[in-house]
Amino acid sequence: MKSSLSVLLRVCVVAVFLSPLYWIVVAALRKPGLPPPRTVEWLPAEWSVENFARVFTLVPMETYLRNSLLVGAVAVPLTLVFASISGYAIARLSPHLRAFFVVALILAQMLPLISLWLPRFFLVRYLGLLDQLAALGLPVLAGTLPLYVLLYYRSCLSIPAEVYEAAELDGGSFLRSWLRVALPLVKPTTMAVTAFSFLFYWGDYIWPLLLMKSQSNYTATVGVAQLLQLDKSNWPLMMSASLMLALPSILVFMMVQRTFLKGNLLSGTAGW
Amino acid sequence: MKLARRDRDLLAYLAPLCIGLFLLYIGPAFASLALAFTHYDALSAPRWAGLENFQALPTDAVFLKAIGNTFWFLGIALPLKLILACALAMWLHRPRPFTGPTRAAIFLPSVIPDPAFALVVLWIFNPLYGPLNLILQQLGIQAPMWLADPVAAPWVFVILSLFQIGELFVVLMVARMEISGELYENAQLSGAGMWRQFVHVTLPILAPWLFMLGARDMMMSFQSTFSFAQIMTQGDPYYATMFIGLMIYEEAFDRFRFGLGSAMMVVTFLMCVLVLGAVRLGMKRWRYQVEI
Repeated sequence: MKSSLSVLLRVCVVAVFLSPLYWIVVAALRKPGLPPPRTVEWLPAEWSVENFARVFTLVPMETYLRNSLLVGAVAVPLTLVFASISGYAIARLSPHLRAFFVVALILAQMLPLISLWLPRFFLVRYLGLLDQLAALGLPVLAGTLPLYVLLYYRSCLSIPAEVYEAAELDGGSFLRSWLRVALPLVKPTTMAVTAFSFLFYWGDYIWPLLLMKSQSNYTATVGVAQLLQLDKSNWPLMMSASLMLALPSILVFMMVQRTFLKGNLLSGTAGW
Repeated sequence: MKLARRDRDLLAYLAPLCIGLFLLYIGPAFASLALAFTHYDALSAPRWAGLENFQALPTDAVFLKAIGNTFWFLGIALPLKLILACALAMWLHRPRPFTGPTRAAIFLPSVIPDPAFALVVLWIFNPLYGPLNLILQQLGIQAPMWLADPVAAPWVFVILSLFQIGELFVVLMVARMEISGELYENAQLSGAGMWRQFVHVTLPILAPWLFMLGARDMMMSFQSTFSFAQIMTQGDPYYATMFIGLMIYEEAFDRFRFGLGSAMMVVTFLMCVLVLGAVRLGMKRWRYQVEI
């Protein structure tokens, strides 16, 4: 009895947390041109997928989606390279230097990003990258987020020294042991960082808003927010655009959630 | 200080990270601080302003409103988020039937990009046609006008922030998984019930995590309240949803007063540090009491 009650409670919690997604889908599939609903429509009064096509006629959504994909496709692999090399190198430093980097990364992760808006804007302007998609990939240098470097650091720390020292005794370099020894051992971390850095770049709203000026360089997040100014009360249209923006993020999350939510990946991170 | 040869070699590979940390974090943090003491419109060179920007703040009614809104929001949303995430984490840390999907569902709203989430919140809370008010209407409840009502509007921001607790939830859940079961067995032997076990065993171990997560969430919420306010309300109605992020954005990028914007940021940051310091002190006292 008690266990069925707790399953019921779980179902309720699931329903509450999925409700935003549910209402996006219901509104997005509502036929365009109908008068707004007067009573709750648990399912659309009349179905249609026309709204999705209409988004593309109202704004150059294909350009926005392509820009977002491009940023993700370039920035995510670079993030993996920079974050894993950095994390692996930090794990092999002597203890006092290691502590220095870990503290620096934690502090950087804690900085409120609003304090970085203005100087970063001027930095991008100084580099001549204002209104260029390349500017959005700049964070890869620091592993996109200090957190990703810390994740790699934590998982590389558990690699025994003999393993990589043996690899380098045979005449291999640091980069060789990184590629051949470290990376294969930290695959779960790579999977998580891939997924989360994609979510970061795909969902990033503030940097494209601050740095991109011409419409041809907008990303999908900015494009979707822009719909509100173009057609303020066309809810089916805005919900279908939101769904297009949210679906890739949801799919990527669904692919990694099983491993990630079991806690295996993050275990051992308690000692930061 | 002499570096070992091995360290020197490794540092060469850490060069990109060092450059990135300096260019994107450390440098900007100090530049922000310096900018606060200047008049700068991004066209002509910055002029030294001394404390003028800071002196202008107490008489700026909109800034005072924004600071008030921001800390009102933090004071309500942050404890609620931590309590909710902690309760869910304690409840779902053990594998039981249907636990996996429940964890995934709790995390899911956190991965939806902010503009998509902002638009669906606008739709759900739409006073005339939105599903929430239509449901409330059927139940015979007098529903507020939400984002059009200066009293209810900030509460919409609180409610939506409660849906974005994925990170808090997972970290607390993993932290709970790592507490050894022996501690609870001992507590049970001395007759402690569920609540006392939580207060005397779990909470002291989770406290540093709660503090870290709370501090980080505080810093992050300046960003998220900006995105949502900028898309959904532009600070309306009557500045009820004017949060500090939006204020700084408008001051800098609409009115080109970058120095003043930086000064606002510095003041906000200092207030946060004060709040966190006070919380930390309170935690030490509480710990002392629990351990006795």
